[in-house]
This record gives sequence, structure tokens and C-alpha cells, in this order.
Amino acid sequence: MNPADYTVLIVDDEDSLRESIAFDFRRKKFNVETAVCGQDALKIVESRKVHVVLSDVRMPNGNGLELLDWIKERDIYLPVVMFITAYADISIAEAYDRGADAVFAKPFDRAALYDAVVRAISSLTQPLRRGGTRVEANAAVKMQFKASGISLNVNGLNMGRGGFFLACEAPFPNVAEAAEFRLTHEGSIVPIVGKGVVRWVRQNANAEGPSGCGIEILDLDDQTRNEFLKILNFIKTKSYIPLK
Amino acid sequence: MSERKFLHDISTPLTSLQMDLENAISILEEGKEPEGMAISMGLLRKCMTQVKKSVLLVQQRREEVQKAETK
Repeated sequence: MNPADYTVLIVDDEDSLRESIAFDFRRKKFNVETAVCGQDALKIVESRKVHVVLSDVRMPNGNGLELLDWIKERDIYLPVVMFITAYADISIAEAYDRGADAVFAKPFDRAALYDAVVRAISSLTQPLRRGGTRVEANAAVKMQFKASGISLNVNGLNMGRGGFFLACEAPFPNVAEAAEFRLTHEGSIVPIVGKGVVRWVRQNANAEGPSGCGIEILDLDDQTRNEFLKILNFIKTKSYIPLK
Repeated sequence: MSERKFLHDISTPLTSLQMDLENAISILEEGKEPEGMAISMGLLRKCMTQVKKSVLLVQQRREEVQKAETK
């Protein structure tokens, strides 16, 4: 990947942080655009090619959520990486469900932000994007969580563009824990085998859905990726990681 | 200022501070950029501004906590 081929739009009403992130990505040779609010960001997205949007959530004149909804309505293929404050008006799970490709709580790790941007524009996730709504998939899922040693065998899951929600009961895996999975879907001959990471955990069922965890897919081999594409073509999904 | 607002307000200068310091150190360690020293100095001055902002927020929060405790 040549960073000079990609444009990153940074949206934040705080001058200092906007400049810090812009400086960091310019040093890494990306093209960088900046905006101070959601409305300004919309004008930029409408007028030129933008590959990734890094947006704050709380901003005057068009907040990050309005921007996210507008972008996903206009172009489901445009990756959006959002960063949020320590306490935002939206849960990490909800941000993924609405289509955010990555979510960070400030203060976030600079290397992790860079990795998320690279992943968002990489060949791993780019071809996996499809429009529509989140759906339930008939699949047998086998999960092995590395750090906690938890193993799960579940029938049925909700799949998103970049991950899936898995309903489960305690004991729960930890957020940021690596996992290996194997999905056997009714529409595929070959099992979907890959690696992922736990992005969020819901320990108690509530209005948002049953207890369980949101898994982002990090790695799929070539054969598995083709099968996964077939499934996504079959089921259509907007969420990056579904809420329920 | 509530605990929630304090955490919200202080998270931005801290994030900016961390990014700028990491970039300044990286520029100085690599030593590849012709204007590296001047750029790093600019980043460090910006860091100082963020430290002052953070200190001010902590002082304000401490005063509020002290007031609440004496009531």
C-alpha cells in the first residue's frame, strides 16, 4: 500500500488534536484533509475523493454520528474510523453497529489508530463491504479465545461487514482479546476460518440485545475470504459489527 | 465540572500531547528530516501548551472537589 494514494479526512473541533493527527498522517505520507465540524467534512467528502474519515463524536455544527450516518447512506464503501472521548453519548457497540469501522477512546494509542486506518483501506476488508442491513446468519460457530482459554460452540450469529455478534453467556472473553474462529454457514461448502479480536462485551441482556460479544475479523486466508464474500453477497449487511 | 466532563475535557490535550511527543522523539531519533530539530521544537512547544491546559483542568477539578468536601 502506498500512503500517497490515499486521502485521510480528520474531523475535530479541537485545533490541537486535529493538527496532531494531521501531522502524524502527513509524516506517514498520506494525503490529509481537515475539517472542524461535520458540516465542513460533508462538503469535503462531496467535492473530492476521501478514503478514510477520522472523526470526533461531539462537535458543534454536525456531530460525528450525523456525519457517519450521512456517509454510510451515501457510500457504504467509504471506511469511517471514529474516535470518541472517554465518555461519549454512544456506546462502542452502537458505533460499530451504525457502520463505524473502528472506535477509539481518547487518549488512544497512535500505532493502533494507524493500524486501523491501514486495515480499513487494505484488501482484507475493502472487498467485504456490502450495503443493506445487519442480518442473522445460519451458521455453526466455534470460537477459541486465546488469553482466557474460553471455548464456545454456538449456532447462529449476526454478521456485519467487518465482524459479527455472538450471543453467549458467562464466562465472557475480555475486550481486546484475540480469538480464532471457524464458521460453517449453510451457503458455503468450505468452513470460514480466521482470526479476530473482541471489540466489546455485553455481560447482561438489555434493550440493545442479548448478552454476548462483538468480534472484529482481523485475518482470513484467501480461500476463506472468497467463501466469506459469497456469504456477504448472500446476506447483505451495513453494520461493521452488529449490536445484536 | 462533573467527573464525566473532566474526563472528557482532559482526554483531548492528553491525546494531543502523547502524539506530538511520540512524533518529536521519532523525528529526533531518526535524524532524517532536514528541518528535524526545528520541527521537533515546534512540537515540544505545542506539548507545553497541552501540559498547561491539562494542569489547569486538574487544578479546577481539585478546587471543586475540595469545595464539595468542605460543605
